[in-house]
Amino acid sequence: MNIQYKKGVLELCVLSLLNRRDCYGYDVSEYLSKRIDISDGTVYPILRKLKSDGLVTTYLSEESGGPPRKYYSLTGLGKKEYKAAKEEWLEFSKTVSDILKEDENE
Amino acid sequence: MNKHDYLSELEKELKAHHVCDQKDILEEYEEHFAMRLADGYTEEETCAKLAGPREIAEQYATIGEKASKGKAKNVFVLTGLIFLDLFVVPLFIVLFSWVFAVAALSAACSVLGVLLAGNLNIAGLIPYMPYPASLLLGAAVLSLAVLSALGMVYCYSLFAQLFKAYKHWHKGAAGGGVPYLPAPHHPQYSAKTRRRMRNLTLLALILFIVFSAAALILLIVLSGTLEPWHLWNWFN
Repeated sequence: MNIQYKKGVLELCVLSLLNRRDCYGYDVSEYLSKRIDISDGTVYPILRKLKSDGLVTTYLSEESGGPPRKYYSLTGLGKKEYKAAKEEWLEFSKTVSDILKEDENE
Repeated sequence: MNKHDYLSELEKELKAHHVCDQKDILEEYEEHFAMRLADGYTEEETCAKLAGPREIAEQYATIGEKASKGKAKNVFVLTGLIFLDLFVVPLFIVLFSWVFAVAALSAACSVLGVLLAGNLNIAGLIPYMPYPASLLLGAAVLSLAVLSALGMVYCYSLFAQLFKAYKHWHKGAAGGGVPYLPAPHHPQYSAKTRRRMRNLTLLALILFIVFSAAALILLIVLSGTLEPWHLWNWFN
């Protein structure tokens, strides 16, 4: 799939995952690369962008014994934006698949 | 390509693309390597799956552009920041003075504790007190010294981290393109340090309570009155 095309969608997927639970960077990276064909390491810039846009925030949390890990979590703004973007995407993708299906009927 | 090659290549590309906060980004990738290794992959396998350093640096570079465009260095923002500083800087001065005051308390307690426990009465500053009671009271005051020293360290770490976060925020708001640091609710110690500090605090607190109670009881017994300070005229 085209990388530019994917970027916006990936942001939405990251927001969706973070909407469910707080994650550390590697967690997000693994979750996405298992389902979508992306190179490793491309998720971190997305997380940073979401952070600089104020949609996610980070905090440090310690696991038992290990060094403190940076967790990402959605901000209030992030939750709002995610909800809106999700609606928009669902509607858009439905329209696209409707259009694509039309040629089958001809 | 191994981890070292990849990270140094990435560092070079980040520099070439003028990406801000490179150290933080490199740490993120270092952690990625660590997690992959823990999952049983070699450094080479990890590198092979990673996107190229240039591609990643380009991705970061597009964020930086937006950040600097979005944060115009306008006069209003800067004036606002200066007014804010007028309030915030004194606040930090007060906070750090508090740390200094607690440090002074701790130092005073240590001196007093040693004097009491050692039954040393320099220049007659300490009122009369029968010896075994003064030993107990000295131990109590020494525990208080440890307790306040811990409090000072705790407050200092917290305030220093808050100050750092504020400085970052300040730079970012002034248009420096510096990302925000999380403002901590409590100092970020390692688990080991935190455990040690907690145990030491608990121990000092228990010792303080036990020794003060013991000293008071002993004084009451020795003086035969419930208010021994009147008998020996401590406050006159």
